[in-house]
Amino acid sequence: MDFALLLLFSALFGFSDHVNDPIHQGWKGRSHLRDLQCERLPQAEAHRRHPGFVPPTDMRSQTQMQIDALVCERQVVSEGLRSARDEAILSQLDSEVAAIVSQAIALSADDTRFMVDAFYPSPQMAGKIRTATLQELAEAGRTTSTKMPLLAAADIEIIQGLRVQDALPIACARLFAEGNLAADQAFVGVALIRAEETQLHGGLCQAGGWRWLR
Amino acid sequence: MNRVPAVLEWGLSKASGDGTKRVALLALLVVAVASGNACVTVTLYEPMGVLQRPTVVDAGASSFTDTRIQLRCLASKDLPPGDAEKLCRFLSTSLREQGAEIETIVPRQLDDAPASAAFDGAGADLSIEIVSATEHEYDYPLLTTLSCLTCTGIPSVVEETYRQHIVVRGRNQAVLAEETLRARFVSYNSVVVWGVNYLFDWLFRDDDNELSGNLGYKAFSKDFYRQTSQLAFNARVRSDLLGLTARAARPLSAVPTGPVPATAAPTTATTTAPTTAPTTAPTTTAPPSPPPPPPDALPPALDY
Repeated sequence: MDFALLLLFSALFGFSDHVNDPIHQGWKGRSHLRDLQCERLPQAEAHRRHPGFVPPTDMRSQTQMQIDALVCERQVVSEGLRSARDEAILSQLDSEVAAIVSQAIALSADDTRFMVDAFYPSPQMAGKIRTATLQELAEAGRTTSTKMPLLAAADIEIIQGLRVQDALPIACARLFAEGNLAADQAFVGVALIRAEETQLHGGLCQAGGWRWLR
Repeated sequence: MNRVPAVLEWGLSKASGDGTKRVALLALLVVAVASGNACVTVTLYEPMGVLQRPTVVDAGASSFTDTRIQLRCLASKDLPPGDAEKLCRFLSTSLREQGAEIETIVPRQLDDAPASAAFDGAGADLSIEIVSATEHEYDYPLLTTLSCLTCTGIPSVVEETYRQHIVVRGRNQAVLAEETLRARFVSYNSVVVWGVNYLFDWLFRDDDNELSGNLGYKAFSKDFYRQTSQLAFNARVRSDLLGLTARAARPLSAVPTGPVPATAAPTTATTTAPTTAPTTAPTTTAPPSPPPPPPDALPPALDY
C-alpha cells in the first residue's frame, strides 16, 4: 500500500509540468483547441521570450536530455470573424511582404525611391498590405513615398478590363513613358491574382520594365 | 436530465444481476487493458501553426484541371514505406477529385524517379514532396506503470508531435511553395477517462466538438488534405505567373481537340498540341472549328 502511494505521488509530481498544458482545455471540445496558437520552442528560446514562465537552461540537464517548451497563445481574432482568405493572408503578411521587399531591394539601386500599391478585393485589406510593404521598405533603410504614380485617363480606360497580371506590366510601361515614374523611382505592386489563393504576388516596375518578383 | 440516472441504473442492474456477466465484464476489461489497444483511448488533436490557417481552395471544384502532379511521399524511420504509400494514395485521391492527373511514387532515395521523367517522360507540372517525421514524443513512465497496476483506472498519457514538411516544385524543379505542418496528439489511455468522455460526447458536446473514437485523427487528415491542396494551388498560380508552366507543349492526348487532318502534320503531331493555326483554309461545308482551349484553365481572375 505504501509503495502504491509512493508511486502515485511520484507520478503526480512527474505530471506536474503537464498541469498547465492547454491540451486540458480540449475536453471542452475540439473548437477550444483550435483557438490556441501553439509552438514548440527550445528552452533557451522560450526563456528569452517568456522569462517569467520558463526557467533558464541548466547546463547539466541540457547535456542529458533536450528540454523544450510548448508556448501557446489564444488567438486575438476568433475563427470566423474575418473571411478565410483575409485571415490566411494576414497570418503570414510579415513573411510574404518581407520576401517581396527583399527581392525588390536586391534589384534596385541604393538611392531608389519606392512607391507601393496593393491590389486586393477588399480596400481595407489592400490598405493593410500597402502599409506593411511601405513599413518593410522603411525598416530596410530605403526611401519610400506614400504617393502613388497616377495613370492618364486613357490608360486607365485601356487597362481596366484586363486581368491584374496583364494590367500591371502595361501600366508600368505607360507610367514611365508619361514621366510619372522617374528613372530613380520604382513602383512595387503587391497583388492577389486568384480568388482561391492565399498568397501575395509582388512585382517591380523600374525604368518602364515590369518584373514579377514572386 | 433524466437520461443520466436511467443509464446508470441500467448499467448497474445489468452488472449486478448476474454473477457470470460480472465476471465476463471483468474479463473483457482485463483483456482490453492487457492488449493496450485503442478501445479505451481518447486522443486529443491540437493543430499547430500552419494547420490552423484557413484555406479557400474549393476541394470539390476543378482547381487542378489540366495539371499533372507527381506526389513523392518519402519513407523514413518514422514513416514506413507502407504508410508512405497509403499517404500518397489518399492524397492522390483528394487531388484527383479536383481534376489533377496524379502519379505517385515512394522513393527510397531522394534522386529516385525525378519529376522530369514522370508521366512517361512528359514531366510533371508540379512535384509535391512530403517528408514526415516525429518531432516530439513523450510518455510519463510512472503514470504508465500506475495505469497498468490499476487496470487503466489511472490514465497513461502519451504525447506526440508530428511534422510534415511539404515542398512543391515547378516544372524546372524550382521551389514554388514550402510549408511545415505540425500536429500534436495527446492520448489518454484509461477506462475511466474513456467512459466519462463517451458520456460527455453523448450528452453535452455537439458533432463538431466530439472527441471519442478516432475523430482527432480524422480532423488532422482533413486539415492536412486541405492545406496540401491550398499549397499546391498556390504553387500552380505562381508557376503560371512566372511562366514556368508550359501547357502548350502538352501531349495531344491530354487536350480535348478535334481529329487531326492526315496531311496537316507529321506523325509526331499526335503527341503534341498544335501551336499554330492550320495553313489550309477550311471548306465552306465544314463546321467552324471551336477555338482552342486557353492555355490557362484556371478559374477566372479576380474582378476588382
